[in-house]
Order: sequence, then structure tokens, then C-alpha cells
Amino acid sequence: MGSDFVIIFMKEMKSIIRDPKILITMIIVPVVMTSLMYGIMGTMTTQAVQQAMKPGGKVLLVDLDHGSWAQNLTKYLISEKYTLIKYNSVDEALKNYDDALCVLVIPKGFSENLTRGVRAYVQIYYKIRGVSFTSMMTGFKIYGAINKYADTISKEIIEKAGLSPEFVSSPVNGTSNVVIGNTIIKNVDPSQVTGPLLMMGVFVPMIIGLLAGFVAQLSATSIAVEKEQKMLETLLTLPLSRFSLIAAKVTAAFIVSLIGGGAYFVVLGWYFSQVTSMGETTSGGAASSAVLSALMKAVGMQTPVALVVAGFGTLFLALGMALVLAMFVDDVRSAQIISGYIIAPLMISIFIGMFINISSMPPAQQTILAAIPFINIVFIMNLGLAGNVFAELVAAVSSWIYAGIVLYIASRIIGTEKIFTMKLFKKRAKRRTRGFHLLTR
Amino acid sequence: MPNYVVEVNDLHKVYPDGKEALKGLSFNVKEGEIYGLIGPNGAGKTTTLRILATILEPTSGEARIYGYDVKTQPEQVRKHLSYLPEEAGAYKYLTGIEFLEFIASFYAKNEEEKRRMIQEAWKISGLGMRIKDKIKTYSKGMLRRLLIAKTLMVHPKLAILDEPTSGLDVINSTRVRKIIKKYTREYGITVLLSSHNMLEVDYLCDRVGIIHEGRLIAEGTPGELKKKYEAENLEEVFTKIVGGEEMWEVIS
Ligand SMILES: Nc1ncnc2c1ncn2[C@@H]1O[C@H](COP(=O)(O)OP(=O)(O)O)[C@@H](O)[C@H]1O
Ligand SMILES: [Mg+2]
Repeated sequence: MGSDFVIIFMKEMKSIIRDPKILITMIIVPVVMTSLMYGIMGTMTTQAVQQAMKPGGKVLLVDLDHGSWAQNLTKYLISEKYTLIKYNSVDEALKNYDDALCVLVIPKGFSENLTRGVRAYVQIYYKIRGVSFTSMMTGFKIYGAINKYADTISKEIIEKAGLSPEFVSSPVNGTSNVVIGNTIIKNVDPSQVTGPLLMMGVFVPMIIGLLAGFVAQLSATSIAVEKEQKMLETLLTLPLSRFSLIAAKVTAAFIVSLIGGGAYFVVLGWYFSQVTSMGETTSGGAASSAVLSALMKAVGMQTPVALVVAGFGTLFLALGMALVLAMFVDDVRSAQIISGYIIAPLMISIFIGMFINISSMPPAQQTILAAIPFINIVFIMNLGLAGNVFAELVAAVSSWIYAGIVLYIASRIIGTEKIFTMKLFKKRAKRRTRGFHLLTR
Repeated sequence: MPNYVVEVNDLHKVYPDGKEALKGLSFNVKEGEIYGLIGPNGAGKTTTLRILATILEPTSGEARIYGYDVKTQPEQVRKHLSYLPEEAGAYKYLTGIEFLEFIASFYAKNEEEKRRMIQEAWKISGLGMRIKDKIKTYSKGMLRRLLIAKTLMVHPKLAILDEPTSGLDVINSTRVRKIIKKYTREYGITVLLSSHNMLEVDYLCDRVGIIHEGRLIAEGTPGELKKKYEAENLEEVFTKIVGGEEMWEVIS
């Protein structure tokens, strides 16, 4: 039995690798396309962020003040690694904008105002030259530099007046604590908590959805391949049970899906980490493990377990549906179209689920929604937060019940002649012509 | 009770769409013989062979292979037979040799037996070095020879061949017929085949059963049948039994 499994598995792998139709549509296109997409987006955003973080750049300076404070500001900007190019008017500066960050105008009276203790202004002109993430972010750098400069001066002024700059700049300060369930996490920003929450509530269901889509498509295709290559009849008469046959094919589909899903996981994970790390400074680290353990306490240990259980249930549900649908088709192309009928509702469900605020609903309603297949994997996290353990149980168990029902139907088809006759249904009925071939030989 | 390899008794088959393909078919196949089911297209030959090969289930009646019931003991039945479907293909992206190895792996008890099967199939197929090419590059005749080879190489107790030469040109058909005759005799394989080509059956079969609209209408050795109906060949036998009308249906 074990060896039959290996034989079929090896054959599956060979045909997946060699058949360009299967290889391209099932593996290369989805993996390469998404990797590329996320890769490009990821590098683009990181580049943009790095660009924006990097001090310095070309600033076109129009100094109409010529006073001592104007010189002071200029010196400061040079010390911050900005390259200043002087122009006499804004018009002139704008004409020579090129790859500058902005035009900085120090108006007349700037130094005088500051000396008199009156607020002074500078004007910044940004020229928009296209929709690029990088240009958008770098443009605003100079604004930050001016603010920092202002801070420095205000500190000096306050110190001169004999007060504490810290006190004056923010006499009242808030520290934020986050409450999830009954757990209080002290001194953390809400964004530090929503990160891991999003991970479990959005990222994991998305990966499960992707995997389910993969599994559906691959197993439907692997059945259709047998029909397309006219091997089904031969396979069904080989000395091995139909179930080990189907099991081997499905396992091959699962393994390839896991590899594909794993690739997605790595790419998506990397992308997420790029995006989430860009705003934050590295204050996290130690705090995040505390956040994570507090989170675990808040949602309960049963939540990740329920998520995994329901996740696998969902995978098997998609698999069963794909197997049933695959019985109706004769070729690979139709199999891929038909697996779209599973993947589309699956993805839409997951998407819709993310917009349903289940935690604010009464428990009974939560429990009912938790029994909806596909969507419920998105709900589990929020059900954990709401403390509705029963609904989590419902989500986990119902996924397996649906999977069981569909797989039972699939097995009823596989175990009987239906695996063979269902496809012939339409074709044969049309072709019921009777000819007498005495004359041919 | 004589030891029959195949026993078919009052077999009925109604397809899900209501088409009654078999209406009480009965025949037996003896050990070591080549038995031919002959009849026009749509007579029910493929349906019968598929039931015996455990692909379809009989609606009623009984079919046994080496005493095992096709409906209740399909896995036992499958151990005894090797089946060549009418419209069989092979994995296009495997080479001929890889395909043979794939099939042999399910039947062979050890590596040595597997090698023996593949060697033999290579010889039977007559494909020469083309056996190392991908199957998608094969002609129809080459593919059919490969499939005949995979069916016979496992030395089944019973080989079921559905229209072994259908769609082949004269040269390939003759070649395939010779292969069947030679190797089944050599290895003592019992054969149940179907054909709508009455002359082919005349050449190949020890006994024939003429099937028409899901029923067996005559049975015997080709010689017996020709003698009984005073006919020169099996075509004539068939027309004499069924009557001339069917001929007209086709010609007009
Ligand atoms: N899957 C099917 N569904 C409905 N009718 C079928 C199916 N397969 C075959 N038939 C019908 O059953 C009859 C016998 O077909 P078949 O056994 O293929 O004949 P043969 O092999 O002798 O040409 C034909 O009338 C055919 O149209
Ligand atoms: Mg037929």
C-alpha cells in the first residue's frame, strides 16, 4: 500500500514538473506573480522609507532676510547634510527645481521677528512631478528638519529663561496602556498590540484561504489530468484501491500546495514586516514578547488551537468541494475554471469577514455566524477577544462537519461508478448514434 | 461446475439516463482461450467489458472473474486482470519506458520482476529506441502498441482488450493482432476482447459471441458459426441472424 502511494506520488510530481500546462498555470504563474508583486511593492516601500529617513538632499534656498537667524538656520541645515543652492526669487528657484526636495523661502523679517520674540515663518514649496511614493515621502523631510530646528531654538530660549524645556514643551504627558479582555498591558502603544492581532486575525486566515485555493485547484486539476490523458479507466482497474489512488493524488496536491503556500507565507511575512517596521522605531523588541504573552492570555490558548483546527477543516472542505466538482469536468482547463468557483467565494468570504465587527454582537449571534464555513476562520480571533469560547468551538467543529459531509459525498462518487459515468453523462447522450460497421475493417 | 475464467449471467445494465445497454447477457470464457465479443457499434461490448473490469456496476445479474464477484469483490477481481480500454491514452509527459515502469510497479512483486516486465513490454511494443521518447511524440499506432504491451507484460490471468485495433491502419492492425496472438499463447493468458471487425475476430479468436442490442444472439467457434449459418465469413453470419434491414440502414 505504502509503495503504491509512492509510485503515484512520484508520477504526480513528474507530470506536474514536466507538463507545461500544469506547471505554468498552477505553480509558476501564481508564485512568481505574487512574489514579484510583493517583492516590488516591498522594495519600493522600503526604498521610499529609507530615502525619506536618510538625512540630506538638495534644497533650493531663497533667502530674502539675510539676517543672523537666517544664517543660523542655513548653518543648521548644512550640518544636517542638506545641500543648499541659493536663488534670488521663488520663480527662479522653481525653474531650476530638477531633483530638489523643495524650495525653502526665508522671508524678510525672519531674523527680526525671532530677535524680538515673535513667531517667525519660513515657506516651503514642493513641486509634484508624478505619483511616486518616494517623492511624496522625501518632500516632507525638510518640514521635519525645520521642526527640529525650532525645537532646538525653543529649548535654548526656555533654558535662558531658567525653566525646564521638557516641562514647558509638554507640561502634561500621557502614557498609554492597552486593555484586552481582562489583561492590562502597561506602557504600550495600541499599534504594538494591533500588529500581532492583525497577524492572527487577518494574515493567518489569508494564508489559509490561499492554501485552500491551492489545494482545490491542484486536486481538481490532478483528477482532470487523468481524464484528459485518458488514463482514468486504466487507473481504476489497476490492482490498488480507489481510495489509496485518490489519497495519493490528494496528498501530492497538498504537499505542492504547502510548498506554494509556504512561499507565499515567506513572501507575505517579509512584506508585512517591511511595512510594519517602517513607521516604528526599534523600541519594540522586549515589549513585544510581553505584548504577545498578554495577548495570548487575553484571547486564551484555545484561540490559536481553534484557528489551526478550523483552518485545516477549511482546507479539507475546499478539497472535498474541488473533488466533487472535478468529477464533472474532462480536462484541465475546465478543472481550473471550476476550481475558481470555490476559490472566488472563499476569498470573498474571507474579505467580507474582515469587515464584520463580530465582537460587538450578542453571543448568540456570534455563535450563529461562527458556523458559516470559510468566513469563520476570520472570526475566531475576535471571538477569542470577546471571550466566546463556545462560538470558537462551533467554528472549529463546524468546519470539520462541513468538510466531513463534502468528503463523504466525494467518497460516494469515487467509490462507485459515478467517478466514471458523471463525466460521460452529457457526451454520450448526444452521441447515441448507431452505425453498423460491417463495411469497415 | 467447469472452471470458467469469466462467468456472465443474465447481465443487465441501465445507464443513469435510462438507456438500457445490456438486456440479459450471458456467456462464459474458458481458461486459456481467446474469446471475442463481436457486434456493431452500440451493441453493448464496451459496457460489458467495463463491468467486468469493475469500472461500471451491473444493474442486475451476475459477473464473476475467477469466481470473484465484480460487484462485491472488485479488488480481488482487479488482481486477476489487465485491461486495455477502447479509448485509452497514456501520460504524455512520461517516456514510454517511464510509463511501463509506472504500470509495472503496481503488479511486480520485486525489482527483478519489474525489470522483466519492462523488458518484455519493450519487445512486445516493437518501439525500439523510441521507447525513451516522451509519449506525446508517439503516433497512434505506436501508442496502441505501447498500451497492448503494458496490458500483456504483467502476465495477467485475464486480459480484457476493448477494440484492440480500433482506429489503426492496416499495417498497425495486423501487427497488433499478431502480437496478441503470439504473446497470449506464449504466456498462457486468457483473453476477452471486443471488436466490430468480424474478420479480425475470425483470425484471432477461439470462440466468439455475437452481441446485438445488449443480448448474445449466437456463440461458438468461428468455424461452427460459419457452418451453422452456411456463411463464408462472420460478417455473413451476422447479417443472416439479424436480417438485412440493418445493412440498409447504413448504406442508405
Ligand atoms: N455512460 C453512458 N451513459 C448512457 N448511455 C451510454 C453510456 N455509455 C454507453 N451508453 C450507451 O449504451 C449502449 C452500448 O454502448 P457500448 O457498450 O459503448 O457499445 P459498443 O462498445 O458495443 O459500441 C449505446 O447505445 C451507448 O450509447
Ligand atoms: Mg465500444
